[in-house]
Amino acid sequence: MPRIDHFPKCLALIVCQKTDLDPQTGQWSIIGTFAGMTLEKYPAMYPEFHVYYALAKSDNIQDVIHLDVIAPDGKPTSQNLTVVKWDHDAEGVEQGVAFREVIFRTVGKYIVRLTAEGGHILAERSITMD
Amino acid sequence: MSDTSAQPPRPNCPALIICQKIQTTPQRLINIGGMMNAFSITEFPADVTFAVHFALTEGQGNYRLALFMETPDYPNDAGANRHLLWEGEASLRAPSVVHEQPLQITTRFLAPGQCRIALYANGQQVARRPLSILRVKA
Repeated sequence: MPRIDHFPKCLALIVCQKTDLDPQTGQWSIIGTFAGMTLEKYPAMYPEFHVYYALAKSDNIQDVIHLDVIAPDGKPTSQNLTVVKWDHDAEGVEQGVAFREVIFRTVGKYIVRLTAEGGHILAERSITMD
Repeated sequence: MSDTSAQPPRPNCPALIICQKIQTTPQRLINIGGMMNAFSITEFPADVTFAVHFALTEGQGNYRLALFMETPDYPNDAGANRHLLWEGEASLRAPSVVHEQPLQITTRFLAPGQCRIALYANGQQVARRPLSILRVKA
């Protein structure tokens, strides 16, 4: 019988200037969504941007979630790893991840990719650099 | 049976968000405030105003968009139903184009329970998000 993998379902993947978690309400806010940037010259070091994602609970006890920024040549330029441990009564999880001092070496289409174990792609978002 | 052969490709929806408010800046950036997965309501029926943000990409062509509030088992159960929250159109010039849509929605909740917000493009569901309607004491 083939093994059935259960991956968390991605409900949202958003690239933005900043994410903010209100400790009083537990609610996330997203500041300044964008899908592209125009920089004066390349290579360029971008000081900071954020990625927000929301996942619906999987059947696993925990999931290892990779969030990578992939350059147009297919190589990762920034990487983040989060271990999500699912509480019994959790329905999902939200995360705001800061990417700092990211190097954009060239113009083109960069991919923000959210993957689970084994490289299973949960969601992708592109950033077009001009 | 519907003929989908002449329709543009089904777009990808990388984000469907329910939140308290959405603001578009003069630089055409979008701020999304107070994301929610549930509404806590003291008295039913209740008219609730909230905001929805969604993004569409990987499409090409013209799309009729519709946002529904549905029961979780829609359309597979006889008792399932749905309610139109918003409808509009989007034109995606190329697959690389990202269409972002902020919406303000006001709707009436008749009772607590589970529902979902679902987005359709040319009649095809492209995203859905569960939403809990909770009764709380005043």
